[in-house]
Amino acid sequence: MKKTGWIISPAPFLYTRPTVSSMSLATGLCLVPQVLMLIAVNDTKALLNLVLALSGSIIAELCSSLPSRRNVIGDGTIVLSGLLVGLLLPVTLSPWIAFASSFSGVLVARVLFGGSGAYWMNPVAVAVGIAYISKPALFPPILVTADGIRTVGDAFGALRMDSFNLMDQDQSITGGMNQFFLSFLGIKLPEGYITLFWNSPSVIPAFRYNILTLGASLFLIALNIIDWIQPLMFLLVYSLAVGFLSLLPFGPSFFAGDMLFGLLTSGMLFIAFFVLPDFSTNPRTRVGKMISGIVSGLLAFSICGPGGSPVGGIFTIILINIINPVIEYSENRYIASAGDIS
Amino acid sequence: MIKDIAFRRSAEYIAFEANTLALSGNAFLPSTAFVPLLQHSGMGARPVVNPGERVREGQLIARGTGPDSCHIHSPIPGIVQDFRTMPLPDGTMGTTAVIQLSGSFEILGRKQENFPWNHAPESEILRVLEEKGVINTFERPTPLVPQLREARSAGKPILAIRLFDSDPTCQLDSFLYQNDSTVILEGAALIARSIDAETVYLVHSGKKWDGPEPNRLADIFQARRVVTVRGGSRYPSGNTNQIFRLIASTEPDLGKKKPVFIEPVTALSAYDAVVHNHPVMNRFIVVSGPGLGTPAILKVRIGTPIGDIIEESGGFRTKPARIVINGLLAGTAVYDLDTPITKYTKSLHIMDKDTCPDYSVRACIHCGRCLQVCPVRIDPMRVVTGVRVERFTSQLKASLKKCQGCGCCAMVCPSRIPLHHIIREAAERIQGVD
Repeated sequence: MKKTGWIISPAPFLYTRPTVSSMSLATGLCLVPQVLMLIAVNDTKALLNLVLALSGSIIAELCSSLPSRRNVIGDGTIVLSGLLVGLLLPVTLSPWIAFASSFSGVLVARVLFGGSGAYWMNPVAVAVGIAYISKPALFPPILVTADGIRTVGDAFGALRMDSFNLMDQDQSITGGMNQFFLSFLGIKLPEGYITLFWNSPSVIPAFRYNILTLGASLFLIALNIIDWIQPLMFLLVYSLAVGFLSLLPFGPSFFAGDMLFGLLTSGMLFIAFFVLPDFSTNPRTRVGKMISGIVSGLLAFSICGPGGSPVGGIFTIILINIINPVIEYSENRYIASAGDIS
Repeated sequence: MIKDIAFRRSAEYIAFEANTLALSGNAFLPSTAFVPLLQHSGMGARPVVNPGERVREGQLIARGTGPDSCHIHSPIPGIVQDFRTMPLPDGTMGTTAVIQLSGSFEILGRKQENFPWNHAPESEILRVLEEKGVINTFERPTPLVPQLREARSAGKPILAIRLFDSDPTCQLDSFLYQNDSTVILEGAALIARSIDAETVYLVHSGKKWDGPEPNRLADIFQARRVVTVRGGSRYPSGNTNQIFRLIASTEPDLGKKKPVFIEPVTALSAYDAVVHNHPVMNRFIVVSGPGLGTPAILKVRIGTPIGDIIEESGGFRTKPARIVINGLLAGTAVYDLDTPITKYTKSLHIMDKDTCPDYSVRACIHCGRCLQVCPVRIDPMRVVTGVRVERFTSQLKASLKKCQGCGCCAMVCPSRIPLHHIIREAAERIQGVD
């Protein structure tokens, strides 16, 4: 009767983080208000796309998991992928294309690479990318043109000039904010931003309700479900780039770009908080995530410019997914050397 | 009271509901005690009594069979009923002597002896510690005396006493030191004497040392060099590697010396054995958790079934989800209410359904949190992947050796992969091969 020193037990009995299933559930719940809004405005096309994209995603996973008897539906990540694809596809797209792109995107990018944690291309981005390449004409055009900006002098002005409908309440809310809060800071908010925040006129559902996306992001960060560093760096770098550089091609005007317009019209907030932080496709250290966030911000600016791009954010994700393995390679080399030192 | 346990690396922390504890005195004597014949790592003791035989309180019932074996004494007077294989608090099965309570007490209720150890020869203290079956519960339980002899023979021995819990959810060591620091320090002092320690390190978790003044410490430790060092309040802070590093930073010629590490429970056992001439028959146990009626600290006889202790502490408040022994961060779950208290038991934590975590293991999602919290800067998931495919490269072996088994990686894992268990199991395996 001799005992070895190490006894296997299920310890620890305390955890700092929710489980993968809880994380998926919480992220899914964050999307529920946006889905409810689609129901409230009776956007049946968007809802149909959503259901078919969700089905495509689940069927792709089932096709792979049933023969190997893996239970991968249980952790909820596949459902989440389907929901995100559905929300990022324009309502102008045929529901069958929504199904096919979701199915093929998830199959190619996620399932064939080994599922959760093993894939390196974001399946959501790949699915939307496939849909765009198949039917680019069904995606909305870029919201503002260079000529428009040149004529008016700023991106949002160009959009307003080009049949932009304000919400009924926009004028009164903007007026109230200017009078009671912003006047003390010497800032005057032009009309239209409230519309962009609350119900941005876009055929892509994910781009519409920026205020709900912002609220959800606070929830996700507070519950430690996403690492805040990467989306924060992404949004910061993109905003600064828009602010400093976006009007340079039209004249010597530094820091004259409209950051809010850039953030609210290309689905940048949605992509930053729901698509970009996918752990599987990202570096693992804080520094790695920070670098990835900075690079993706720069990429987003080079693709989307001042804003208003329908798929620029998605192609930013695909590009950063290609760059991330390089960041991770350097990261692993650093970890190995730091481990030797310690 | 919610207590945050911050990790040594990264800004992660664990929120733990700590009960306000007070000493509730002696627990009821068990009507039947189940005394394991092996209460530490190493070899079990050989029984020296037979079923049906009457034993006295504190009588030797099993003799240690070698240096990695310890004597076992009867915690109660009674009749040995049987030797039975039972589940033990560390999750293993082991042989226990089943003793039915009967007869009169020879230690309980009698006036305690007070042996003046200050002038006793070192060999005599060692003999008493061995005879009374004292074990060291600093990390994994081991017989104390062989460790002391080894340190003494290496020359210029060093003794380090950690005055707080290595697993903060356990709470016993901190409680014992805060409530009876004189006895704990005296217990440490007599162990220091037994090896003629050159230096004694008192490792505390406070911002600064708030114990006895240096001249008082010099009195207690018989003019030995006493150094107080801050172990830190972050997790992990109290394991062998951490304290060794602290000592190495103040001890330039540490070389290959192996300091003896102890904690308040071991010091208290040594004090009881040498000063009161008592064999190890009881243990202070922290009984707490949301599933329990009344949290308490009880002095419990070894061999008492945990069910009796729970009943004495008000029983289950709700349906229990798990009964965890020796802390929520590094302890073991037990499934049988007859599991006995042993020399290495420090705490019982009753978890209810709401506080019991989900243990379903999922595939790694590549979040990198294990990497961010590891205090020794290894890459736990990469190591585990290497272990799974059995690619034991030199780098992998170095990482396996470096792991302290603190469990930080597992605590932050959203996929609930028992990373530190896999690493430590592999480390044991390669140690056996190498």
